[in-house]
Amino acid sequence: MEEKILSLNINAILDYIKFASSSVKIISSFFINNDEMLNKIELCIVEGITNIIEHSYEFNTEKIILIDIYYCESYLKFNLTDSAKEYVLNFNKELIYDENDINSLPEGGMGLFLIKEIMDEVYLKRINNSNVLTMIKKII
Amino acid sequence: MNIIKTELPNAVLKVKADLNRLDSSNAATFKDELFRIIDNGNTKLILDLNDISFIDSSGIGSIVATYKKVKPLGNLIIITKSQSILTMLKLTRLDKVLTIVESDNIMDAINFF
Repeated sequence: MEEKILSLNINAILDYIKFASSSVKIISSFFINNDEMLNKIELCIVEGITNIIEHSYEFNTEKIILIDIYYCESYLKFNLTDSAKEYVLNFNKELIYDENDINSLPEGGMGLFLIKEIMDEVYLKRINNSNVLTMIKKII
Repeated sequence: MNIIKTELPNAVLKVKADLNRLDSSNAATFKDELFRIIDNGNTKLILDLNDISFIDSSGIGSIVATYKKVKPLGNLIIITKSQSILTMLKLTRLDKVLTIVESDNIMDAINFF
Protein backbone atom coordinates (compact mmCIF):
# COMPACT_ATOMS: atom_id res chain seq x y z
CA MET A 1 0.00 0.00 0.00
CA GLU A 2 1.26 3.44 -0.95
CA GLU A 3 1.96 5.90 1.84
CA LYS A 4 3.20 9.45 1.86
CA ILE A 5 6.44 9.63 3.78
CA LEU A 6 7.52 13.23 3.32
CA SER A 7 6.27 16.58 2.09
CA LEU A 8 8.35 19.68 1.72
CA ASN A 9 8.04 22.91 -0.16
CA ILE A 10 10.45 25.50 -1.46
CA ASN A 11 10.14 28.90 -3.03
CA ALA A 12 10.84 28.95 -6.75
CA ILE A 13 14.48 29.95 -6.39
CA LEU A 14 17.17 28.12 -8.37
CA ASP A 15 19.59 28.21 -5.47
CA TYR A 16 17.05 26.41 -3.24
CA ILE A 17 16.70 23.38 -5.51
CA LYS A 18 19.66 21.66 -3.92
CA PHE A 19 17.94 21.69 -0.53
CA ALA A 20 14.96 19.78 -1.90
CA SER A 21 16.93 17.42 -4.13
CA SER A 22 19.44 16.56 -1.41
CA SER A 23 16.58 15.84 1.00
CA VAL A 24 14.89 13.55 -1.52
CA LYS A 25 18.17 11.73 -2.12
CA ILE A 26 18.66 11.12 1.59
CA ILE A 27 15.09 9.88 2.06
CA SER A 28 15.44 7.61 -1.00
CA SER A 29 18.63 6.13 0.42
CA PHE A 30 16.54 4.42 3.12
CA PHE A 31 14.93 2.36 0.34
CA ILE A 32 17.59 2.17 -2.38
CA ASN A 33 21.09 0.87 -1.77
CA ASN A 34 22.63 2.02 -5.03
CA ASP A 35 24.59 5.27 -5.23
CA GLU A 36 24.23 5.61 -8.99
CA MET A 37 20.45 5.29 -8.79
CA LEU A 38 20.29 7.75 -5.89
CA ASN A 39 22.29 10.25 -7.97
CA LYS A 40 19.90 9.73 -10.87
CA ILE A 41 16.85 10.28 -8.64
CA GLU A 42 18.40 13.50 -7.35
CA LEU A 43 19.01 14.54 -10.96
CA CYS A 44 15.34 13.98 -11.85
CA ILE A 45 14.18 16.07 -8.90
CA VAL A 46 16.56 18.86 -9.92
CA GLU A 47 15.46 18.74 -13.56
CA GLY A 48 11.77 18.66 -12.66
CA ILE A 49 11.98 21.61 -10.26
CA THR A 50 14.23 23.60 -12.59
CA ASN A 51 11.70 23.13 -15.36
CA ILE A 52 8.92 24.46 -13.12
CA ILE A 53 10.93 27.51 -12.02
CA GLU A 54 12.12 28.44 -15.50
CA HIS A 55 9.12 27.62 -17.67
CA SER A 56 6.04 27.45 -15.42
CA TYR A 57 6.72 30.12 -12.84
CA GLU A 58 9.10 32.08 -15.10
CA PHE A 59 11.43 32.83 -12.17
CA ASN A 60 8.71 34.29 -9.93
CA THR A 61 10.42 33.65 -6.60
CA GLU A 62 7.20 34.17 -4.60
CA LYS A 63 5.77 30.96 -6.02
CA ILE A 64 5.91 27.66 -4.16
CA ILE A 65 6.81 24.16 -5.33
CA LEU A 66 5.55 21.22 -3.30
CA ILE A 67 7.55 18.01 -3.24
CA ASP A 68 5.86 14.81 -1.99
CA ILE A 69 7.51 11.42 -1.64
CA TYR A 70 5.42 8.25 -1.50
CA TYR A 71 6.65 4.78 -0.66
CA CYS A 72 5.25 1.49 -1.77
CA GLU A 73 6.85 -1.93 -1.46
CA SER A 74 7.84 -1.95 -5.11
CA TYR A 75 8.41 1.73 -5.93
CA LEU A 76 9.08 5.26 -4.81
CA LYS A 77 6.86 8.01 -6.19
CA PHE A 78 7.81 11.66 -6.36
CA ASN A 79 5.22 14.37 -7.00
CA LEU A 80 6.24 17.91 -7.89
CA THR A 81 3.30 20.30 -7.67
CA ASP A 82 3.10 23.86 -8.91
CA SER A 83 0.23 26.34 -9.14
CA ALA A 84 1.10 27.84 -12.51
CA LYS A 85 -1.37 27.88 -15.36
CA GLU A 86 -1.96 24.57 -17.10
CA TYR A 87 0.78 23.41 -19.47
CA VAL A 88 1.79 20.35 -21.44
CA LEU A 89 5.10 18.50 -21.33
CA ASN A 90 6.39 16.38 -24.19
CA PHE A 91 8.03 13.34 -22.61
CA ASN A 92 8.55 11.67 -25.97
CA LYS A 93 11.04 14.21 -27.22
CA GLU A 94 14.27 12.42 -28.08
CA LEU A 95 17.73 13.87 -27.66
CA ILE A 96 18.75 14.01 -31.29
CA TYR A 97 22.05 15.38 -32.51
CA ASP A 98 24.87 14.48 -34.87
CA GLU A 99 27.98 13.51 -32.93
CA ASN A 100 30.08 14.67 -35.90
CA ASP A 101 28.40 18.07 -36.19
CA ILE A 102 29.63 20.31 -33.39
CA ASN A 103 26.87 22.86 -34.02
CA SER A 104 24.18 20.27 -33.33
CA LEU A 105 25.41 19.41 -29.83
CA PRO A 106 22.74 20.21 -27.21
CA GLU A 107 23.20 23.08 -24.77
CA GLY A 108 19.70 22.78 -23.28
CA GLY A 109 16.40 20.98 -23.55
CA MET A 110 17.74 17.80 -21.94
CA GLY A 111 15.76 17.83 -18.68
CA LEU A 112 12.62 15.96 -19.70
CA PHE A 113 14.67 13.51 -21.76
CA LEU A 114 16.76 12.66 -18.69
CA ILE A 115 13.68 12.20 -16.48
CA LYS A 116 12.12 9.87 -19.04
CA GLU A 117 15.35 7.90 -19.39
CA ILE A 118 15.80 7.42 -15.65
CA MET A 119 12.28 6.99 -14.29
CA ASP A 120 10.04 3.98 -14.92
CA GLU A 121 6.90 6.09 -15.24
CA VAL A 122 6.38 9.82 -15.73
CA TYR A 123 3.21 11.79 -16.23
CA LEU A 124 1.73 15.25 -15.72
CA LYS A 125 -1.81 15.83 -14.45
CA ARG A 126 -3.90 18.88 -13.70
CA ILE A 127 -5.38 18.42 -10.21
CA ASN A 128 -7.28 21.07 -8.24
CA ASN A 129 -5.87 23.95 -10.33
CA SER A 130 -2.34 22.66 -9.87
CA ASN A 131 0.08 20.86 -12.16
CA VAL A 132 1.38 17.62 -10.66
CA LEU A 133 4.43 16.00 -12.23
CA THR A 134 4.61 12.38 -11.06
CA MET A 135 7.81 10.35 -11.35
CA ILE A 136 7.88 6.70 -10.32
CA LYS A 137 10.98 4.59 -9.78
CA LYS A 138 10.71 0.87 -9.16
CA ILE A 139 12.83 -0.34 -6.27
CA ILE A 140 12.34 -4.09 -6.76
CA MET B 1 32.55 32.22 -8.35
CA ASN B 2 36.29 31.70 -7.99
CA ILE B 3 38.07 30.16 -10.98
CA ILE B 4 41.51 28.75 -10.31
CA LYS B 5 43.76 28.86 -13.38
CA THR B 6 47.02 26.94 -13.59
CA GLU B 7 49.39 27.48 -16.52
CA LEU B 8 50.93 24.26 -17.82
CA PRO B 9 53.59 23.59 -20.49
CA ASN B 10 52.77 24.15 -24.19
CA ALA B 11 50.23 26.91 -23.49
CA VAL B 12 47.82 24.50 -21.81
CA LEU B 13 45.65 26.04 -19.10
CA LYS B 14 44.03 24.03 -16.33
CA VAL B 15 40.77 25.54 -15.12
CA LYS B 16 38.99 24.60 -11.92
CA ALA B 17 36.01 26.26 -10.25
CA ASP B 18 35.54 26.27 -6.50
CA LEU B 19 32.18 24.53 -6.81
CA ASN B 20 30.80 21.24 -5.57
CA ARG B 21 27.61 21.54 -7.63
CA LEU B 22 27.25 22.79 -11.20
CA ASP B 23 23.57 23.42 -11.86
CA SER B 24 21.05 25.99 -13.06
CA SER B 25 21.95 28.34 -10.19
CA ASN B 26 25.53 28.85 -11.38
CA ALA B 27 25.92 27.34 -14.88
CA ALA B 28 25.50 30.66 -16.73
CA THR B 29 28.20 32.33 -14.62
CA PHE B 30 30.46 29.32 -15.06
CA LYS B 31 30.03 29.51 -18.85
CA ASP B 32 30.71 33.26 -18.88
CA GLU B 33 33.94 32.75 -16.93
CA LEU B 34 35.11 30.07 -19.35
CA PHE B 35 34.20 32.19 -22.37
CA ARG B 36 36.23 35.06 -20.91
CA ILE B 37 39.23 32.75 -20.53
CA ILE B 38 38.93 31.68 -24.19
CA ASP B 39 38.50 35.29 -25.33
CA ASN B 40 41.79 36.06 -23.57
CA GLY B 41 43.54 33.70 -25.98
CA ASN B 42 43.55 30.45 -24.06
CA THR B 43 42.51 27.71 -26.46
CA LYS B 44 44.05 24.59 -24.96
CA LEU B 45 42.01 23.97 -21.84
CA ILE B 46 41.86 21.23 -19.26
CA LEU B 47 38.63 21.51 -17.29
CA ASP B 48 39.16 19.92 -13.89
CA LEU B 49 35.77 18.84 -12.55
CA ASN B 50 37.03 16.55 -9.81
CA ASP B 51 35.56 18.66 -7.01
CA ILE B 52 32.08 18.70 -8.55
CA SER B 53 29.90 16.03 -6.97
CA PHE B 54 26.65 16.93 -8.77
CA ILE B 55 25.88 18.25 -12.23
CA ASP B 56 22.55 18.82 -13.99
CA SER B 57 21.63 19.46 -17.63
CA SER B 58 22.32 23.20 -17.25
CA GLY B 59 25.85 22.39 -16.08
CA ILE B 60 26.40 20.00 -18.97
CA GLY B 61 25.00 22.66 -21.31
CA SER B 62 27.60 25.17 -20.10
CA ILE B 63 30.39 22.68 -20.79
CA VAL B 64 29.02 21.88 -24.25
CA ALA B 65 28.80 25.60 -25.07
CA THR B 66 32.42 26.04 -24.00
CA TYR B 67 33.48 23.05 -26.10
CA LYS B 68 31.70 24.47 -29.15
CA LYS B 69 33.46 27.82 -28.70
CA VAL B 70 36.97 26.50 -28.15
CA LYS B 71 37.06 23.46 -30.44
CA PRO B 72 37.60 25.38 -33.72
CA LEU B 73 40.59 27.11 -32.07
CA GLY B 74 42.06 24.39 -29.88
CA ASN B 75 40.60 21.78 -27.59
CA LEU B 76 38.89 21.13 -24.28
CA ILE B 77 39.79 18.10 -22.19
CA ILE B 78 37.64 17.20 -19.19
CA ILE B 79 39.30 15.49 -16.26
CA THR B 80 37.03 13.97 -13.64
CA LYS B 81 36.30 10.90 -11.58
CA SER B 82 32.90 12.26 -10.51
CA GLN B 83 30.28 9.55 -11.00
CA SER B 84 27.53 12.17 -11.31
CA ILE B 85 29.29 13.78 -14.28
CA LEU B 86 30.24 10.48 -15.91
CA THR B 87 26.67 9.22 -15.57
CA MET B 88 25.24 12.41 -17.07
CA LEU B 89 27.65 12.29 -20.02
CA LYS B 90 26.67 8.67 -20.71
CA LEU B 91 22.94 9.39 -20.48
CA THR B 92 23.26 12.20 -23.02
CA ARG B 93 25.79 10.24 -25.17
CA LEU B 94 28.15 13.22 -24.89
CA ASP B 95 30.82 10.81 -23.63
CA LYS B 96 31.16 9.90 -27.32
CA VAL B 97 31.87 13.51 -28.28
CA LEU B 98 33.84 15.13 -25.47
CA THR B 99 37.30 13.99 -24.44
CA ILE B 100 37.02 12.77 -20.85
CA VAL B 101 39.93 11.61 -18.76
CA GLU B 102 38.77 9.57 -15.77
CA SER B 103 41.55 10.56 -13.43
CA ASP B 104 42.56 13.07 -10.80
CA ASN B 105 46.10 13.23 -12.15
CA ILE B 106 46.52 16.25 -14.41
CA MET B 107 49.40 14.58 -16.29
CA ASP B 108 46.92 12.08 -17.72
CA ALA B 109 45.06 14.97 -19.39
CA ILE B 110 48.08 16.90 -20.62
CA ASN B 111 49.03 13.97 -22.83
CA PHE B 112 45.91 14.60 -24.95
CA PHE B 113 47.35 17.84 -26.37
